[in-house]
Order: sequence, then structure tokens, then C-alpha cells
Amino acid sequence: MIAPDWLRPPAATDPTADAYKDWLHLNVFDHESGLVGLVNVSLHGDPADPRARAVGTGLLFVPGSGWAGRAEVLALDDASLGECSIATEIVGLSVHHRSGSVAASVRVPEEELALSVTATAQVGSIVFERRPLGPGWFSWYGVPRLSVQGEAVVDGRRIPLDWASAYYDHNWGRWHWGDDLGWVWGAFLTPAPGPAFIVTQPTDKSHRRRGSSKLVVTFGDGRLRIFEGPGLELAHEGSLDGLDRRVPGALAALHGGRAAMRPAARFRLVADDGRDHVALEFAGRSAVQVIAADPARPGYGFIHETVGEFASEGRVGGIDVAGAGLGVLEHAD
Amino acid sequence: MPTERKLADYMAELVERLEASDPAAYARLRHVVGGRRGRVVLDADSVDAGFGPAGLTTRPSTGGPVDGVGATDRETTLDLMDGYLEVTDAILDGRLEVRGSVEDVARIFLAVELLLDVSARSPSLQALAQEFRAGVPRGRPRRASRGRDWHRAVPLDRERELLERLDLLPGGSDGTVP
Repeated sequence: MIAPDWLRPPAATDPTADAYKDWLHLNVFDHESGLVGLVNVSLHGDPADPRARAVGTGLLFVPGSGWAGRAEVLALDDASLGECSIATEIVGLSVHHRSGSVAASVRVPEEELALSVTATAQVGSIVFERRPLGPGWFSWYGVPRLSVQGEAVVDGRRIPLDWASAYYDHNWGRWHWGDDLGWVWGAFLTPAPGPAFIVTQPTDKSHRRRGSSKLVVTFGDGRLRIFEGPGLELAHEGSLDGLDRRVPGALAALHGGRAAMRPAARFRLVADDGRDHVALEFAGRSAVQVIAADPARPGYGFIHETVGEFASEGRVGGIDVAGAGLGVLEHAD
Repeated sequence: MPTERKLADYMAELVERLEASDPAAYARLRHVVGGRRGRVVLDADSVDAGFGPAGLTTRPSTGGPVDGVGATDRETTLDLMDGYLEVTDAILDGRLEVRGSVEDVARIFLAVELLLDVSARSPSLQALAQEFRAGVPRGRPRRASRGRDWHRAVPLDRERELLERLDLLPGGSDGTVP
């Protein structure tokens, strides 16, 4: 069981309704094949405004095959919404809190791509309410580690995911894409029952002004430790050759100059509070750019998702956190 | 199942929905196009289009003179829509052709930008895109061909050194690029 949660549409009288966002997100990490799945369904804009939209993104990276899947943009009325579920034509994500499970599905028949998984929470949920994000705010409900049952089909090849790990979060808040905001976020999971590392840092659009960063470390027995403030250092080094996909294509065409973005090739974090210590190094392998358009005003956000491998070392609460696994590093601006 | 809608119908529908969704953008589109006539070629369909007093006018192309030409195919359009192909790569690979004077080509791309920008905020334009997608039998996406050297690449390290010296790297003077 995980804490109850639900979509947070604005009240009819909410003067900030046009900046409404709701966002369900699942990452799947298959340590056997190296597959990393990004499943995201989101709502953008005042639901009473016909311009409000639902966006479904299903992207799977498989070493040797690259990225498959796509993003689709629908009128919000054309999406199927539940208490804590959003489904578009190609992507669906639904959370059942009593059983602590997240069901996710991606179907892109023209690419012979499918993903169908049920992920079950192995640790409790964490909630950070109403944190500043540029001129707006966001809230974050996360489950850092879930076990997975299901499979993916990529290029017609079946990949069982019963030994995969997953990360889930729900974000909601008020911001406009194109505002002076950005963030760094990453999820790095060793195979169960090893530790999972989640890092987050709000920034401005240029990533020159950086807010307080947080590192959440969770263990298989449900224990967790949060590092924040000056004891946590994040560093980005080098750059990948470029982006391997940009979606949706119409927005990519509108922002041709953004194709030149080269996400960091390596990411290092060190957390040390004098008692516990974590060092993690992530090596990016491939990156995609997901472009988000604001429905209420001209403005765009660019979310770069880099997938790769990481290694960690250190001790937290007397537990050795040395390990290796798969991760996703997100850079939004 | 192939769509019943022809290219001229799509263009008329596109402009009609643009006007309904964002009249200011429609006015800008008319201003950008002005009195020019352009030819749009999609597979074997070829249409000459321009704006008259009553709005968009289209007629089957007879090959006469026009101010600019844009030509591609449905497969390329889908690969662009799904992000498998960048516009630059489509042009360099010969899958998208745009012809005209420098000014006319610039205006063609400006008109396309206007349409794309409004499509981000217009469910009716997104629905038209879905309809187009449903009407095209989808083969496997074709990505850009690689290894084209159409300009000399600046070595990455030198580019980074320059940006760092000018303090233009995101993340500041520590040289990191988040």
C-alpha cells in the first residue's frame, strides 16, 4: 500500500488554473537487457479551456536498437481520466494505491512496439508539497523503487521485464512552459534489493541559478535517507555527441536550433554529512529531447532525458551502498 | 485505410481551423504570404495556393509559374511528425524540397512556423494531424542518413574552450554543462 494520491485539477474559481499541470511518470529499468522505458502522461492548462491538452509519451531505449516510441498530443477532452490515471491513444498509466501498484501500457503498432507492465511499490511513497519552480510551484509524490511484472516488445523482439526495477512519480502544480524555470532530476536504480538514488534540483532556465538539491536514497527494506543542502554536490561533465530523438516532431521542427543541444556525458554526485557518504557516477549513453508547449500562451519547455549506467559507493546508516545499475538523468529548461 | 481527403482539402481545412483557433495568427499568415502563390506537392498531388479576398484559394497545379514550391511525401511528413527526422536532414537527404527566391523560401518557412506554433495550442489542428496520420499506411520510420559532411565541424573541445572563456556555458564558469 502506498499513500493515497489523486490528480489535482484546479477549482473553477482558481485564478491560476491556466498554469495547471498534472503529470504521471514511470521509468522502467531492465538490468538484463539494458532497456530503459520512459512512460509519461500529463495534463496541461485549465481543463475548462478548450486549448487544454493531454500528452502521452512512450519511449523505450534498448542498447543496440536505440529509441522507439513517440509522443502524442490530444485535446484534454479526448484523454481518458480517472482518479489517478490518464490514458491517451498510445499511452496509459494508472495507479492503484491500495495494492501499491502502477499499471502502464504503451502501444505503437506501426513500430511493433508495446510495453505492458504492472509495477508494485517496494518502498513507501515520499511527498514534497508546493516547492517553488520558477514563478510557480510544483509538488512531487514519488515511489523510488517498484518491482515489475510484464514485458516489452521492441522491433518485434519480446523482452521480459519480470526482473526489472521501476521508479514512479506524480508531479502537479502551476507553471507555464517557457517560464524562467528548469530542473535537474535523476533516478538511478541498482537491481533489487539494492539501493535506489533519486536526485532533484530546481533551477532557472539557463541552469545558472540553482535551488537546493536533494538526494533520496532508499533500500530494499523500505528505509530511506534524504541528503540536502551544502553536503550534496552535483557535477556535470563533457557532452554526448547529440540528441538521438526529439519529440513531438512538429515542435522539434519549430525549434530546429534546439537540435544542437548536447546533454552532459557524465554526472557525478557526492553526498556527505560527516556521518553518511554516497558517491555516484553516471555515464550517459543516449539522449532524447521532449518538447512541451504551453497551451495558454506561446512558450516551450525542453526536457532532455539521458539514459545510461551508473556506479555508486559509500555507506548510509551503516549499509554499504556500493553497486551499479541503470539510470535516467533529466535536464529541463 | 487511405484517407479520402485530398491535399487541397487538407490545406483548406488547415487554414480554416487556424483562423478559428487563432485569428491573429491567421492574419499574420496572410500578411506573410501576401499576394504570392505557392505550389505544394505531396506525393503525386500538386496544388497551387494563395490568398484571395475570400481566403485561401487552391487549384490543381498545371505547372505554371509560382513564387515558391514545397514538395515532400506522406512518409516523410509522418517521420517529421514523429520526430524520426529533422527538417534539416529531410532537406539534405532530398526528402523535402523547397524552391524559390531567398525571400520566398524564408516566407514559406515563416508560414510553416506560424502553423506549427498554433498547432501546439489548437486541439482542432491536433485532431487534423491525427486524421492525417490515420489516413497514411505507416511503414517503418526512415531516419536521416548519416555521414553527410556539408560543412566543416568545429572540434567540440575548441568550441567548449571558447564558450568557457566567454562564460557562456550553461552552469557558469566551472565549465559544466548540465
